[in-house]
Amino acid sequence: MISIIQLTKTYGKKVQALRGVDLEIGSGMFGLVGPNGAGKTTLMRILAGLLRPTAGKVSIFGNNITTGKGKLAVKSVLGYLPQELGLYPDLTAFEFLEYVALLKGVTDKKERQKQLVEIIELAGLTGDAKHRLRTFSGGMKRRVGIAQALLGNPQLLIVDEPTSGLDPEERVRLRNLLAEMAGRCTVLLSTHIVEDISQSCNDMAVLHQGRVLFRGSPRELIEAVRGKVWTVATKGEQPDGGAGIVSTMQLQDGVQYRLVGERVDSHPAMPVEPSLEDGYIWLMQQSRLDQA
Amino acid sequence: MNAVRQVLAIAQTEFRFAFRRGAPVIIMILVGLLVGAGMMMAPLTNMSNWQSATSMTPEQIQKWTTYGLKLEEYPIFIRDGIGDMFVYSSILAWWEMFAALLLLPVATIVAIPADHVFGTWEWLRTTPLTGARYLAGKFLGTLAAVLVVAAVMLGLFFAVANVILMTTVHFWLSSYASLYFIELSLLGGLPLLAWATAAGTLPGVLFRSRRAAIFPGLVVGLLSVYFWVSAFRSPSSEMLMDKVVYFLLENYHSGATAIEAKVLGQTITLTWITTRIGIGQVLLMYLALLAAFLLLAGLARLWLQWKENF
Repeated sequence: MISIIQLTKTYGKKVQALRGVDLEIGSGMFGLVGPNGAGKTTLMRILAGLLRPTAGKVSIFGNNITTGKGKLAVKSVLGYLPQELGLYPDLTAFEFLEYVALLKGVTDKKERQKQLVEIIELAGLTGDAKHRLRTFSGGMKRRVGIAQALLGNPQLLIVDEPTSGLDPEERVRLRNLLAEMAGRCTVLLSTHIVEDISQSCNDMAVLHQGRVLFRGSPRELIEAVRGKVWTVATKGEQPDGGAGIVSTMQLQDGVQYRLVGERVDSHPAMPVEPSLEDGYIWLMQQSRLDQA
Repeated sequence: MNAVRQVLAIAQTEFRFAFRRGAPVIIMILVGLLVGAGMMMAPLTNMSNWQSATSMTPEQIQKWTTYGLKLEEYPIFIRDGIGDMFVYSSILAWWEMFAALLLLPVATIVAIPADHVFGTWEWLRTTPLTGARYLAGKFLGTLAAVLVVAAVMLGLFFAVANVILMTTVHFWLSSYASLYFIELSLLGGLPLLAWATAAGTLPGVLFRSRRAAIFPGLVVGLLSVYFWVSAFRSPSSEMLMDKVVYFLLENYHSGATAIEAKVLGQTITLTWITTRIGIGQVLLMYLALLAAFLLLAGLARLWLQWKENF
């Protein structure tokens, strides 16, 4: 469905954001995770037709996005929520969404009204649709962003860091909405919050320094780190060895560390059930070790 | 069909913004007031003479009939003569329209950078919209706002002129003069405003903030005035007007000029015209303007394609 072959993107002469990325993405919800600066946004922007790749091939639903025709064909089935969504503060939510619907080619008035009513309700904006966007909170603006991405019945939904800056309730609500959408179209979720992936994606990739470090299901990444996750209680000192610290919890008589990596000999370590976050930290750790 | 709807959607939104943000509207109101006042200057300063001329003395009646003119032609002569004064004023006041050439680019050059400022640029380019449709929508929306204000200002001019005439000499503005001002607006004003709007809107693709665009907008305005004056100037060196106004004036006739022609035995024109220009030169001016517009639009389109992948 989405085929990415040897995709490279270089900004200027020196900054290589993507270094030969190969990915095949099918239907459902696909998660792309990686640290800041990994190249996630660059990849998303290339897929959305905003950036031209330096080298490589990208085909979406059989359309080559480096050609004008292919790009337009992809955009006609695309819903995109950028990391920073800009809105016209002078427009009401309804005016703005109607404008987006027209640009997306929903020209039939009845169909447009139907979609607008449905999506406004889905995004929980029914009571606020007639208010100017300048009066909206960050969470409400994010919901308007989701609503505009869903207009026009997209077959591909690209959402870049959708949950950053949202409160926990809004985050869960948004994740559920995206999961629901994944039943109808391909959803590409880019995030640096591993929890977003673990809660909603059945397929994922980890990107680091412009390269794909991992490609598979969240379950596979968790299995890859099984037997390498420990908890260690100390009096306060950090455990020795090369294990990465996933979390730290202050106890009454010391500190409990959650570690990922080889077993620590300096302190008694208890093996624990791995999580996706552990797998992610382990991958990052391995990448650093490989580079060293 | 879809392309047309997209262009109209952008144009409609831009039209709305032009009124909510105000700059093009304010500039058009100022230019309208300036030009309207200029057009009324000469007739108003001579109004007392016209007032006293509305009734004839016995000597005038005798002189009038000596020329073979009928007495019922006299009110027509006075009414159209006052109208001719308004028309004559356009010779003196048309250059004030160049204020629109200078200032409109400053006001309209921010239309495209506004999408960068609001952050809407990103998602706009992910819709099935081409750069050409985007540019067309931005230009048409801004132009529509400019033309609506211009039409209101023209209406205001007619209203004020007629109120003044009715309260002083008890005539409406002559139909000849009214028609002239409508022609002047459509054939002279519309292309000028369209160019000024295009000269502002289209180079806006180069800028990402409104502040960065203001000074270049002023430079574009100055270049527009220079371009217009040097390329389209009328053959008369004393009068700062373009070929369209010159053409309309050389072809202007009224009841008063017909009576004058009867008396003097020669065709009367208002411009002391020594060199006549035909419709060909006016069409050439429009063609040159169209070519300049297409060049500007083409360059803006190429820039979007090359720099923004749009």
